[in-house]
Amino acid sequence: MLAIYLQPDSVKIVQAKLRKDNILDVQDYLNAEESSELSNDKKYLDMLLNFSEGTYKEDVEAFAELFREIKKIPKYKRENIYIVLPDFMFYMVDCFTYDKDMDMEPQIRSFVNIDLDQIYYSMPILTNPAPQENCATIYAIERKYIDFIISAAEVARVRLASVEAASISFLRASGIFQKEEFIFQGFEKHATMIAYSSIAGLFAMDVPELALENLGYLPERDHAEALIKASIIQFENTAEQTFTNINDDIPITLLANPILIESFNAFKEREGKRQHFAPFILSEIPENEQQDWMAVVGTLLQSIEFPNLSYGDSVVIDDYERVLSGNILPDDIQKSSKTYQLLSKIKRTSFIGSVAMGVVFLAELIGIFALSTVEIPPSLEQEYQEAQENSKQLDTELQVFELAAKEHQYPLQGIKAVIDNRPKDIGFLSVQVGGDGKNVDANWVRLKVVAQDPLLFQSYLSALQNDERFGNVVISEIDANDSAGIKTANITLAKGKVTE
Amino acid sequence: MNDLLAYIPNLKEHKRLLINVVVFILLSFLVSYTTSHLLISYADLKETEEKMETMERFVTEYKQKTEKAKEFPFRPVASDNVDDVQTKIIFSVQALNLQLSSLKELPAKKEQHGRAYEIEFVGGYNETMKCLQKFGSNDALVGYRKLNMQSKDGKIHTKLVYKIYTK
Repeated sequence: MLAIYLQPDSVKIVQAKLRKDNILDVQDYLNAEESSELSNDKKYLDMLLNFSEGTYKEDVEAFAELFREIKKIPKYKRENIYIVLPDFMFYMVDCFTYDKDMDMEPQIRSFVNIDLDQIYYSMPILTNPAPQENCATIYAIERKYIDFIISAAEVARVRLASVEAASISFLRASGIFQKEEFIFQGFEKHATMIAYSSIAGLFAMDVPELALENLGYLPERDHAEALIKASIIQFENTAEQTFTNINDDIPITLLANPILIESFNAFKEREGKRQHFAPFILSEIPENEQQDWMAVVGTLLQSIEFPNLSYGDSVVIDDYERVLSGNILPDDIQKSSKTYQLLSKIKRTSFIGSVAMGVVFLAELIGIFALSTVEIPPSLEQEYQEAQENSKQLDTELQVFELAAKEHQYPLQGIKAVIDNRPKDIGFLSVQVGGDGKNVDANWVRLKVVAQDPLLFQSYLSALQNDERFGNVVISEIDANDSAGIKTANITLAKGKVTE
Repeated sequence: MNDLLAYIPNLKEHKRLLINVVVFILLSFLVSYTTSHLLISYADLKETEEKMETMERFVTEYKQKTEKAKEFPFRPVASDNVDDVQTKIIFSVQALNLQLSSLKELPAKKEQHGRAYEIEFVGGYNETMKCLQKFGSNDALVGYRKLNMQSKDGKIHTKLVYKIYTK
């Protein structure tokens, strides 16, 4: 959002963003005459005030130069334009009572001297201070000025979002609506006094005699001081007639050239405290300068209706007062601007979405490529195939080995073991190793041995018992051969720890 | 919506908007397509990884079994080669001057993976032990079931029940 305050002697520009939490973040502010990027010798408000039907096209082109120059500044290029005009530009700024039907046109018609077709109007302040009468503040301006601005915006191809009066913009930026206030807008050739009351609203009165140019032409300073005081008293009288029970000696907020204020005691005596932005406006503008920027900043908050719950205590306003947008642009232009904003939002969102989708698309393509490159290595395939082909045969072989190990009776190991332990004077008649049946391990080796001395059998038995290759060792029978004096013994040995 | 429709004639001035929206829609379709493709690819990858894991496990087990099989010095023979092994056994008995008394095959009913035989031979102790230590062929898997050795008349009478294992 870009607000442009067209003053007779200067152009103020503010760039800001309204955050989702309704905080206005002022990002940039400048005076056109202090900018190297903008022409500082053109008085655009004079162009607006003085264009003629005969040279309309040329005048529009000349005024459009303001928008063109702004568009050339990259950071402002895509912003919607919010124009602020000084109150003297308005045909009427006044408050009226209204009924439930809110048909204000008869009242406006009774007040203005021109056809209603020749003015645009807006109603930014509505009050309902029961039991007092309902009041609406109406800003009316001649259509020719607004149509001129619209034409220039079309020529320069900028998006015009709003045209609003400085007084309502200034009031909004303060965030304080529960008050009585006088505002003086003074320029070289124009001056306006504005009175605001939270009960009735706002009205403005042109006081051309207080323009800097006029005061400067007066022959003596005392005359000027007297004129200022007289004008203020006259304005206060008008305010008392408009607003019932208004306080006396209300301080005046002076929005004028400091030279004008400093030159006349009548102004300084009535000058109010300098104002600053409401807490819901964030900016780097120094606090002592904020008053000069309030009229340009406040218009950027016009989409917010006051009172507003999101601001809590930051806004001081009565329950019976409503402050709305003072945008005076015709409805079709406003709608067009809003539609354009919507389309811009769609464009921006779809662009960001496209970029995001593009990134996701690329990432997914890379992912698909990466995933599709993972294949079973040919060497593994080959090894697996070979293993499958030979596995059955190998399993059979291993089964055979197991079976062989189970069935093998290790006879040579048994024979070796009995020979290893044999005492010298013992002979073998027979050796039987292994066999069939359940008790084959218990009767693994069966010996028939001979010896002269039967004690040798016991000795042999002891040696066999100490050999771990045997388990239980039993002499089942001992026979004596009387004729030869030789003894025979049958020995049964169980299987112990036998290895190949 | 009506506001938007009313704005359509001006859309010529918003080529970039149209392009952005069209590109966004196209990319949305493409992304949905690639997302489904990516999910399928991921599922395929998982399947491939599982398959590889199964194959690697199988190959590893196979190698372990092969190593285990290599630890055995003798191997079961093909059924057709049993007679060759028998021939070698007879030759080895005769080569050691042992007298072959009998050789018969035992009933094959109970036997698994092989054929069992009973052999009887007579000879000296040393020859008999040599014969028993180098029985049959060099690499055929032969298991001893039962060995009976008797000393008679200075000779060893040996009766051996053995089994030649087949694949």
